[in-house]
Amino acid sequence: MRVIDRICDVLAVIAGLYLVWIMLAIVVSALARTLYLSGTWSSHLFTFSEFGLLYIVMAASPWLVRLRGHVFIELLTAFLPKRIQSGFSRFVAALCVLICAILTYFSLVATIRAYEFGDALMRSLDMPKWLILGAMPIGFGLMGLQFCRFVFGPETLHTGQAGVHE
Amino acid sequence: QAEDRISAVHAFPEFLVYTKTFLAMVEDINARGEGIVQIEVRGGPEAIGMFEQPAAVRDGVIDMVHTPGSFYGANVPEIDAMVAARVTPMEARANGGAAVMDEAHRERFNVTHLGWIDGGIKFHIFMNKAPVFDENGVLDLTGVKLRDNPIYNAFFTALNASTSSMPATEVYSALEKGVVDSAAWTQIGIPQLKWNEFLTHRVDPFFYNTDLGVIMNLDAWNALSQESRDLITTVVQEWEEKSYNDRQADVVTDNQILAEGGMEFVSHPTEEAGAAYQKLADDAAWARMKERIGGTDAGMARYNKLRELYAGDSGS
Amino acid sequence: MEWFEALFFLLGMILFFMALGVPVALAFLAANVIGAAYFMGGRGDIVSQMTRGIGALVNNAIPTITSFNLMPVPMFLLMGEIFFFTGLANRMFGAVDRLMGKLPARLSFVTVAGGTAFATLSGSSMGSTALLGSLMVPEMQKRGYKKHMAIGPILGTGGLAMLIPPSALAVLLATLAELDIGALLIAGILPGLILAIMYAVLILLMALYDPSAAPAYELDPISAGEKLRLFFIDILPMVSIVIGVILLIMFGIATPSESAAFGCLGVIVLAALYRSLTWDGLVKSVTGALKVTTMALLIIFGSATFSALLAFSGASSGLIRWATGFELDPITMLLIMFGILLILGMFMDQLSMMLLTVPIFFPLAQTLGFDLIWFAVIVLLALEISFTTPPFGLLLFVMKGVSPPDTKMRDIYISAMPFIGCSMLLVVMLIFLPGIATWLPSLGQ
Ligand code: NA
Ligand code: NA
Repeated sequence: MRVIDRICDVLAVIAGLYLVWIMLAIVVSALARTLYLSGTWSSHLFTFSEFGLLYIVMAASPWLVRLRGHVFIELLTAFLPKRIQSGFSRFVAALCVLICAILTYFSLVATIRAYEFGDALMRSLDMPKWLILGAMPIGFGLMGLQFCRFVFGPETLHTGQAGVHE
Repeated sequence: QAEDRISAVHAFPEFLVYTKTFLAMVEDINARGEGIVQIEVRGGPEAIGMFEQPAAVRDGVIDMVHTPGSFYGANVPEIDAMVAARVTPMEARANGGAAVMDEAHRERFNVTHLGWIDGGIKFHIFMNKAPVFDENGVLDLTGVKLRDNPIYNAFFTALNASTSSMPATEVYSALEKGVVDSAAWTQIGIPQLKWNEFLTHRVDPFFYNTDLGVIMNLDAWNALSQESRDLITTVVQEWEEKSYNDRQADVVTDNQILAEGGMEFVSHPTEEAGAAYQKLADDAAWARMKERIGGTDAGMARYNKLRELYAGDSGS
Repeated sequence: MEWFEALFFLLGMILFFMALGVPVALAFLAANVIGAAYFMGGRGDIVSQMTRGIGALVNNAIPTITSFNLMPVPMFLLMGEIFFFTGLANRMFGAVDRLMGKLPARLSFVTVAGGTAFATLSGSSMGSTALLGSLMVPEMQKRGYKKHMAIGPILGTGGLAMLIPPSALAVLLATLAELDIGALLIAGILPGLILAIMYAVLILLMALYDPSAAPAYELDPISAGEKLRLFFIDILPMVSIVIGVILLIMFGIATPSESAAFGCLGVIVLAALYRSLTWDGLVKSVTGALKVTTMALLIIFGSATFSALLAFSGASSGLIRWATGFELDPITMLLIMFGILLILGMFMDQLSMMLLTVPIFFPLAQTLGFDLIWFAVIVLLALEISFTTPPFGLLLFVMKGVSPPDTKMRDIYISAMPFIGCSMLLVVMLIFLPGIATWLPSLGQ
């Protein structure tokens, strides 16, 4: 688990750096356009800023699972009797593991299919689609592993306090 | 025998003339196909994203789509032959070009290319100031902020333009605010988009062709009865010709509207320069196709064949 | 499946998973996985249906997420976080506080101003309520303020935050509803200012009616020169960045994404000029922005196929045909939609509410002939009002959680009421004077 946590941390750091890079890239390409200096290179900056959003969400989501940073609503868990609360929370976490597992498998299938057919996203350049889709099985896979901690680990996902948690 | 059912989507919203052609064609097929085959249209880009539709047809999410071929050009590079064509859809069908195109689709994308609809529509660059020509008399877009689109990117780069990408829906406000000052569009449709409120000059001659087609999942196609397949083939080919003629009439109407609205049609200074401009565009498309094919022998054989059948030259 | 079966099937699954306590993003994903396999699965067995359906889902997510339109969201968030973690925000509030001098109920005003700035940039009414509640309520109690003078303004700030740009939620709404992002950001300014004025008048009236609710206390007097210094050094530069961002958008000099990125850079440069830019502050800012961005984008990822499924299954068009079949007048329809949002706000966060209702409400609003920018402003207000409406508005519970132990739910309800009244009054004004929302965007054109 410790190795997985470190991987998730590293991915989150990369996501944070990408976020800063996007800010700079947008500023540079806007300046380039204003000064009539833009061209293919600034179109590429634009394209990779767009792709960045997907990479960021896939890279940082597993880390955010561990921090309980994905917003969830506690309604049912708050009204359940105390003694079954934690069991129920573990069941919900297991459901999340299942959802992530399904997404991991089928997004991997979609990635392989896109690779085999040579699918591309036609923006300023033909970006092989599998390079984008490929982030999904990794992201969902790691998310699923992180949800496992709330199934088997000492802590539970839910707190028993009604409300929206973010 | 049971009636065949086909699900379909279209790339563009319903108000666009191209979508109307497709829906009218579907209505025609359904009327003549009672008891044989019925096409059920599930919607446009709101139902499946417009760039995701071709792969959705290939994968069997949906059976049929009406879409520009360029949307899946990375999968079927041969589609650029339609973009750079110098023949009409009817000529391409008669000389066997359409069959080669269909073969490429079947081999590479698990779909069949049924027909080239609304063909014969060309593109122009529209600007908000008088165009400038270089020493050879060819358009020079240095210092021009042009709305980009992957389809014409290579050509625009060759003309020295400063490009920015945006969806067609954002072009109006981008023109209004000066984020871009030029855009390319088809011969028809500018008045409907109201871009002529800002764009005052049209650069002649035209270049490229629209490459709208109807493709269908190959497994779904093979599962149809022979009668259904024959009917669809017949009707689509009728519409290739009918829509071509209808659109040529629209070109005349729109030209008139633009001229009456004060749009200036600026030709290249000499005929040779105009031809060089068109060749620059065509070469960019053929070069892209060659690059995407990646130089295999079979691929190059088909490239040469398409170049001969669609553009009347050997290319090599 | 009939359109209404499809509608209940899809909405029901999402609500079911959410109610279980599954994170919202995964609730959307789970429901859409099932919906996509059912509606977009094509022919064949369950595995090939899931392959196609989930394949369509993940492919649909690409254009939805990798869209330049979403770029202002992380940029605005980053801008706000840097603003806070470099201490620029504290500096500005301190200056505002000192400049107000002996104004009655001064701390209530500071709360509104500070809270609006915080909520606006953090993009989260809940986070800002929690922070201000734990910060300001004890402070104000110590100064002898009654509870409602502290709690009410805090609850009110979320509405202002959503309307006055920069507003990450307004960007998300515009993106989801395919509206002009710049236009919606600009459209919120005037209603936001009107709401701020109403709050100010309300606080003054409350203070005048019951002076003991906000007792005055001694302050060191400050000289005119000091006042000018505070204004020009501690307030004007910060405010200029926000106004600069608005002007860039309004006059189309830059796209909303570019303006937001420039705003971000502006705050960094400003922090450097004040010598308050630290490595630690930057790391915390990026981390904070990354958390909210990722949370929001994963929810949008999950919902990428939701509106497509509604369209594909015929649910959207069916609902619109049905709803317009009653031939109710547009204002009644508006109030029904408003009511639905109020109910959803009892148990759902704002982004989820938007994702569920936008694909249904906006086509309907278009059919009804509404100006969509105007309608979006009303939706933003409804989202915020629903959050503070007794008995179940979510912010009320957040407030309860962070305020002093002797605070009763009833205190919070009573404190919230006048501020909800102001927002409601604004909605009525918008209905009768749509120009409040539509006039400013039309100037930029
Ligand atoms: Na705001
Ligand atoms: Na509120």
